[in-house]
Amino acid sequence: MTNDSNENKNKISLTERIRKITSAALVAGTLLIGSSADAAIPPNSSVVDRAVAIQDVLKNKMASDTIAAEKLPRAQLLLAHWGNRWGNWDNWNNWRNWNKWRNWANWLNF
Amino acid sequence: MRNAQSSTEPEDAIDLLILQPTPFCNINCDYCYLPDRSNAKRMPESVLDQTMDMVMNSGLVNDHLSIVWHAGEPLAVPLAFYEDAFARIAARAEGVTITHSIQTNGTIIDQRWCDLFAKHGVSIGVSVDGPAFIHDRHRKDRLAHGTHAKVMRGIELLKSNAIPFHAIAVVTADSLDHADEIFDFFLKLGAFQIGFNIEELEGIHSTSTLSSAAHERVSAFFRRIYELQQHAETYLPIREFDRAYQAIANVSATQPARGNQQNLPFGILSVDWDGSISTFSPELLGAASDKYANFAFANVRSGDLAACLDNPVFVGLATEIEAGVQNCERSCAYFAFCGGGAPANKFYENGDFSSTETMYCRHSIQLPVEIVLADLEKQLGLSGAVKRKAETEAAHAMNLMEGLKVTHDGPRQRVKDKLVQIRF
Repeated sequence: MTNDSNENKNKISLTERIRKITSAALVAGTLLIGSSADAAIPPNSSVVDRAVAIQDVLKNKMASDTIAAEKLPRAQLLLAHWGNRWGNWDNWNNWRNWNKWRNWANWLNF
Repeated sequence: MRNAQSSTEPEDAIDLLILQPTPFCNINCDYCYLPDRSNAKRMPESVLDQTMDMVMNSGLVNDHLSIVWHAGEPLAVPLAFYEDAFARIAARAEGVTITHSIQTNGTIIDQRWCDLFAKHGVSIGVSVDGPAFIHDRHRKDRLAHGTHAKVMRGIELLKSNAIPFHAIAVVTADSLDHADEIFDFFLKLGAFQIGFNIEELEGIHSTSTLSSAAHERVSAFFRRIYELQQHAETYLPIREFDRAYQAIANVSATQPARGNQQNLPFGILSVDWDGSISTFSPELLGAASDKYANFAFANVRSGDLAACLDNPVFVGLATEIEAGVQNCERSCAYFAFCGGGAPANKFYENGDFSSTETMYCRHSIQLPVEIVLADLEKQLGLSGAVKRKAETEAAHAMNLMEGLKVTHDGPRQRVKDKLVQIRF
């Protein structure tokens, strides 16, 4: 067996073994939960919805050609920056102004 | 020596490799969690070579690997250590982009170190708590003298050499009444980002001055820092608020939360000076625990990552940590912003890896998210609408509480269900 095939075998087996352990942990973890945790908050909490509401409003705001990036409060510009950099906001049609915003974002040392 | 890992999924890859060049530290901060910082041992060449061979042959490296030299004072070893180490690593990581980072107390930095940082593009973090009257209360040398002046000399050298650096400040109870002075200090410091670490209960540091501090005082501190950041003429990035922006911008009501590498096996891989392998929270490296075999699951001299998976202590710990993540998911409104908390904090604060909320969660995750959310809601005119919606949802949640186990069918749950189906 070549080095490459040995390495490939190792790669597959290690990754799969981690997944199996995680999977087993999930099962065992569920058992632990039953006796130790209070299920008090639904998974889609109001905090998430607050964030999503902010995303929606800001995206819609950015869709407007009348918005001047340099007039935006810093917090909104920061949110837009991270939405673009880490998320998929730049795939939205209403991000046609992004290049203008990005130039302004340079002011923030991005 | 390496194999190409183009097919490794991001969630399987090693996100961060932490190497401990030495457990020794030349200073003696009173809140330090490291247990062995008088030990001047140094990572042998053979341990480094075996570590890199193990990592590169693991199948868990994509085209980039971040290496952080930490868990002691990294600059307490001779400069030649890194010249040799960087060359050895490069030779074993052909085709992989390696990023070296050093988190230092800054007291040892001289021109030779700056030359090394510049030559190898080393990312530098300096630990400094703020102005001298705050910093010197806790960050003292071994003769109990404050270290602020030495740190500032090191920082000035970094600046004169145009070497970018970030700063990490520990927030203690002594900091809470001095937000303005601390912000002004960092605004002028020249760091490209500031991270505020709350004083945590970890390792041998079993108390925190923040434990007895009212949450309102911590909250007032961070709110004031945020206010100053938003209105300062020059923008100063602050890690905790950057993370909040990142989470708020990308959280979804329909997609699973981003993973948290501290909760995943080998997401963060730590190797101590003697080759002991640890994972999950970096703070667990070298921590004493009979139950968890000091969190050393194998040693690069005689084993590898597969040996960790064979270790029942490792498997047991992974199970407990996963239980903790699930408990967080089911009990914490901020799960989507965090991914399940920090195992080390859960262990040291609550005594249980399967537990949930910690002081770290409240101060470093939830509080920044709340501060940024509230500000954006106010700016965008959402405060009233969100409050009304939240009240409606709270009532709805109360009605659903009894049936939560059977109605919980989010994306993460579906992934879990699938994993259970393929259980070996």
